[in-house]
Amino acid sequence: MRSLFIIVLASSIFIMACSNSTKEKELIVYASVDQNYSEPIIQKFAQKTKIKVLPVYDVEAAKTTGLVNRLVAEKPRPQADVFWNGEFAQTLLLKDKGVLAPYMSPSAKDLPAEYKDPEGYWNGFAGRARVLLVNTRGLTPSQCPVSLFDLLNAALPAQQMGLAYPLFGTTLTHAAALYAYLGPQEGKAFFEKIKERGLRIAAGNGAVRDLVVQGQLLIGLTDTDDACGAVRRGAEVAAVFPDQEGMGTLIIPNTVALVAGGPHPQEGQAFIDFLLSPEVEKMMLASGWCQVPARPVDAQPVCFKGTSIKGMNLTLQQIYQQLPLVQKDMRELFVR
Amino acid sequence: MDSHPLVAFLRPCRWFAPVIRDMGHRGALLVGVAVVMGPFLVLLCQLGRDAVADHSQWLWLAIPSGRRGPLLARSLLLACGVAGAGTVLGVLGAIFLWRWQKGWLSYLRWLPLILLPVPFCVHALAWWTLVDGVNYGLAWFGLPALSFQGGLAAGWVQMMALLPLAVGLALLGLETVDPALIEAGRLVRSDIATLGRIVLPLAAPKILAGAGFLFLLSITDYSVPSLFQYHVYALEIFAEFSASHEPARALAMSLPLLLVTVGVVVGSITGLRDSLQPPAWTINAWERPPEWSRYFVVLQYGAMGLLLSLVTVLLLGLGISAGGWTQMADAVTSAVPEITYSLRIASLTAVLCLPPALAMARELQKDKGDKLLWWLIIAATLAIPAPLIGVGLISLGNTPWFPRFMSGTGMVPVLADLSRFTPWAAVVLLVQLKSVNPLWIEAARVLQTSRFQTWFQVELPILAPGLLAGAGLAFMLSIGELGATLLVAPPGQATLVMRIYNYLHYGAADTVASLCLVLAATVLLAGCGAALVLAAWFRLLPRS
Repeated sequence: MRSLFIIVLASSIFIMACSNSTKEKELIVYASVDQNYSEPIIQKFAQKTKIKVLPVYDVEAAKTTGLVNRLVAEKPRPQADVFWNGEFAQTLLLKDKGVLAPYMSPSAKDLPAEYKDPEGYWNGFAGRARVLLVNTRGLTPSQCPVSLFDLLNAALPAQQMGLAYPLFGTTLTHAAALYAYLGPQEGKAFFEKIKERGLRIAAGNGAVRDLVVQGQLLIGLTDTDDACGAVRRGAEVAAVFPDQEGMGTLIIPNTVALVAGGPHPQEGQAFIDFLLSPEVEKMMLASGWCQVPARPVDAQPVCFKGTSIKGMNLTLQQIYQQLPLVQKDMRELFVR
Repeated sequence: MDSHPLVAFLRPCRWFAPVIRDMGHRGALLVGVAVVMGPFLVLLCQLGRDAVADHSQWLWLAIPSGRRGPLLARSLLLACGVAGAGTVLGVLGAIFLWRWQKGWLSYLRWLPLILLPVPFCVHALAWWTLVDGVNYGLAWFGLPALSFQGGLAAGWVQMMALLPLAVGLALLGLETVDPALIEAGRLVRSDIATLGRIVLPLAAPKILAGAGFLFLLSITDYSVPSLFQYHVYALEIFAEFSASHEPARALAMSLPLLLVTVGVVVGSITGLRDSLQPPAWTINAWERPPEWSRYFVVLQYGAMGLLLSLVTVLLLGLGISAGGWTQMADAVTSAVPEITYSLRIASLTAVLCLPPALAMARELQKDKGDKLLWWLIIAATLAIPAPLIGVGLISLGNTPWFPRFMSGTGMVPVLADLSRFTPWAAVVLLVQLKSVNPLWIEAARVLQTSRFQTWFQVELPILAPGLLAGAGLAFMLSIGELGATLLVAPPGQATLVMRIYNYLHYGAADTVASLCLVLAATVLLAGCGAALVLAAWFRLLPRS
């Protein structure tokens, strides 16, 4: 009797651990957008369509080895239907690796051409910008930087300026953008000087923000969502959109793509249509995740209202093409 | 004795016992090899296939040339420093706590272990906040600020984060020393001489094994060193994987780390000799309080001070950051699914790792030629970066041999944790097996009515501390695991650590602090639960 009880108990645990099947419509979304921002949007979609969404969220600590590597590894037997990325470089890479499927969403009609893949493998929307976060207690307005090149300004203390490792995430994308804009030699020279000056290299953009908020850094290069979070929490910081008089600020759109061979393609397409709608862009502006909408929408971002931002005159493809060289250079420079 | 209900219940099985036991051992070994080595072997096959096809240059990544050589040297230096300093402090702390063998104090000494699953980066943030406060004070007095960057700072944070484990492992080592030998030594020499000539030499192999653990945890971590701008080889592997998205390239690059790990594991653990000591956990080795010299007492208090400072800095810092009870309750309520999921994974890992770990430990104990192969298997999995285990498991899932019903389910993260942590449990169990006098088992077998009786009444009680320690270690490591789980967590489910890292990026310090406290409380409750189960089980055993 007792052995029967043990067998039944063990089987129940095993079945509980293995069971995840239900009859209702399902959708599996891999989201590399912070859970705090993406979860409400996913829930809204679930409420609207009655489709059960099973998300997998990335974490910053995993850098880019998280969901992107998972998608690459799962290519022979895809588990996900949609990949929603907080930036674009890894999405373009997934297209090259054959992980994505084309889908021309009707919601993408009014998106600018540079935010759309001509073959329909991905769409960009809801942009974030790369900003210089300044501690306003430590710097007077006249000392505030206006350009990325102010990070090399000898008048500002190098030890109190910082950026995340340019090996991963949006900082890597930013480095690639500089390579594309300035040319590989000048781009590399910029980072060599950053290294020479001894700027502080933090573990991630969130860490850069925290160091600026705490006053350990006076200036930090980070993303607008991080800056917005600090501003909304009442920290004595301000965001500077760099190079508005020159090359412009790097704007990084979110991207969304259908996974080839995913188990629920129709639901995936419905989610892409929803995500690319102006309604979602408004939600993202209100949440603080996005500051630069892809198309004119009837809403203002929760942070940096009324700021007109001049973006860098580069296509996403031009930036993406620089990635392999930048990754190699940055590793040689910063991991030694 | 025969009339005990447990024995009576098992008696009908006695005729099949030898066969079942042998089958059980082989089965557990097979499962262990499949689970532990599966992901690694799949990656190794991929590397071989790619190298043979058109990527033979990938094999060159296994040679730490150019800047990778100094990086590896820096990593070794950091890991040696952390393991060395951590072990010394751990032994000093353990000697202090060793005397607490009765009443509630005997439980209290294991309490710092609840901090083990708290992510390293949370430790770093806590120390950073403290140093900031100190610098603020120094500035007030016009003194220069402390610099908290570089290898020393990274080593400090790693060492302090691992100190509870160091103390726990050293305590386990000391607990296995025969109290009778200590008493005999104390009759003729001073306590300090007894400690130096009898206790430490007998416990040394186990303490060395603990040092090996600390070394491995340090050398495979890149998160803390990168926070302090101290670049290590593990970061290079991670950057390679991130850039190429080719697990085979990352695996080739991690081969030097694997070699180092094999050396450390074989060097630190194979030194274990059969010490044939009686189980000391029921006997107080220091019934008469020891008399140490003043300097030694100061050293012990120093180590305990550091341990206390860790507990204070971390728990107090987290407590303050968490804000009020309301915020904490909100954070906990919203994380209930993650808490239950984490508990499920960690509990299953802790239980399921024991049979293969015990089988592996028994193989390691044998004086046979294939012992080295087993060491290689264990060391290989210890050195592989966590994301590679995750990718290896996905690749394994893509093969026709992988059970389809398990694909994409909650069992896959358990498999990932089993792959990563079964070798740890095996080493802990080996330490325990080395202390068991085979004559007791033989004596029991002479008088046995069934092999199950010997197993339940003799072998299991003797192995109980090792089983509990192995399961506990697997539980704690599993509940704090991120790298592999992130890649194999089923859609719609996340662990508590995944949630913590998510909020960490968002900058919600209060939620992060609350969730870290929940993590510590979860381990505490699990520890209490395990202690209760153990107590109940001991009560169930025959008294005669």
